Amino acid sequence: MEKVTIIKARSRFHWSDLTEIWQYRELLYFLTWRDLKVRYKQTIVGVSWVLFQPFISMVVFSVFFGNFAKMPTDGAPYPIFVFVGLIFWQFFSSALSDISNCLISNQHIITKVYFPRILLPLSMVLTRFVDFLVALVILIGLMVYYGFTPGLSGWLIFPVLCVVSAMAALGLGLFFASLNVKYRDVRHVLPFFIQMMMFVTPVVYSTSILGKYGWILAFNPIGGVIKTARSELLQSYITNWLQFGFSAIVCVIFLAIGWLYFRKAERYSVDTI
Amino acid sequence: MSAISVQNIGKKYLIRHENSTYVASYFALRDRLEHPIKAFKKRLITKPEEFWALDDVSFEVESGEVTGIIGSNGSGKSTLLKVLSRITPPTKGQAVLTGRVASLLEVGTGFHPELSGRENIFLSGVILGMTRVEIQKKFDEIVAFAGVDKFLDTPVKYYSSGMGVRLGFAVAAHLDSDILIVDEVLAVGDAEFQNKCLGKMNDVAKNQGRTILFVSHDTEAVKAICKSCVLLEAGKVKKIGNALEVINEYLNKNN
Repeated sequence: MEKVTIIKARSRFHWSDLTEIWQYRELLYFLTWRDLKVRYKQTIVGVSWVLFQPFISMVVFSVFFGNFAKMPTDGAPYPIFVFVGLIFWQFFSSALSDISNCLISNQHIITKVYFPRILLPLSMVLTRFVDFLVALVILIGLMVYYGFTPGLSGWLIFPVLCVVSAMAALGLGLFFASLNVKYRDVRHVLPFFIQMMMFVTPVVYSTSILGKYGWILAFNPIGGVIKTARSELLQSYITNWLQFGFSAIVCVIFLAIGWLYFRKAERYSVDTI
Repeated sequence: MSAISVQNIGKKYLIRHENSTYVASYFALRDRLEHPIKAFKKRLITKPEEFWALDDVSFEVESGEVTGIIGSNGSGKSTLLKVLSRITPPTKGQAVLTGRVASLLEVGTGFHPELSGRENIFLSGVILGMTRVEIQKKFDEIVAFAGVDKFLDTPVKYYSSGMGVRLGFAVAAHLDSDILIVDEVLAVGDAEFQNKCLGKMNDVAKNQGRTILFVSHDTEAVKAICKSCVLLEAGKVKKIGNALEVINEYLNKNN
């Protein structure tokens, strides 16, 4: 059975678009491997940087927000409280930045070779996920230090949290990546957007400070992830599963919209890059 | 049974004429947001010009045939290859390719300067479409062809331009596909390298029975390798036929 490729002016969604990603899985592996290898090869501090960043942030935030400002943390010690937030936030925000720029940063290959462009954002999520796993070491250290052990639901929900964070980053990232090809100044707007988003996400604070308006934050998918991570891993309060479920659904919607936008933009991206 | 069937392919580009005082040629989101009315009016007044890089191009390539594509600069050759390589979609028409397709539009596609020669062979090979197992099997051949045995583990950024080109071509030369699309790859490198490339292309063309679409300015190379030829002019097919005939028409027109 020979492989037949049909090139047409209009493209409609086929299930083969998804199986294509599976066919190109080796390329996905190599793109991820490439980014990881380059990043860890260039600096001697390579791996330690991934640990250094959240750790120092935790220390600084603990001193100012935990100690001086005395932010409420629903019962858990501030350092581990903020670290759980930081580790997921770092995964989400760095993946988002990478994905938004992925078509432009890889223009030298997308203008020369065909492969499903979605592989680029996917490889960036995987790369940042590896960083997340490395930073997880510190979290485990902290949990041992403070004497926390997650319950069964904690262990089970953890992979789900990672998947939801990845979907959130992908959804928004794909949208920005599509926008970035046409409007180049998206790249300059993005850092500001991410910074603002950090403040509307309960990374350094707890949603309890919002009181009865806390439910608004459920619209922020990464916020839902962080809140649930804290309640499951630190068991300082009961998990609001309804809110988390809602966040997850918002996430899936973001992903669907982002992907649709991306599909439209990727075909003509080479012409405008 | 044709391996490549190009049916009325058209490719349109829009050319924006910059008449604003901004130096940047990129369209900024800021423009849209700051002056929504102005931007809207501008769209109505200065309609972008349409440029058809390819206009109703049709031809067939039989399985196992080697076809050249020639034409002056700007005739649409590279655009045609980009469309057939699925890098950019056509505006009109369709193309049907039967068999595994590999495109060589540049030497050293996917090379990363920080990675070593060994790592780049795998990276480039996978990007071009080979599987890891395939590359593993052909690894020694690739290294021997490129002649970079001693420098395999140094980062590619330290390679001389000649070495880089040889390595890039070595990886590409071992692509095993039914259809091969090649774009002026032989234009770079010294005489020895060009001879090596030509030799390999000949080998691939005559002995391996693959379908090849070959774009080049070097009419001698086209004569040597290709059986049939397509002449493009300003995006349209001027002549299709036997390589010698088409090349003569191309050369005569220029004289």
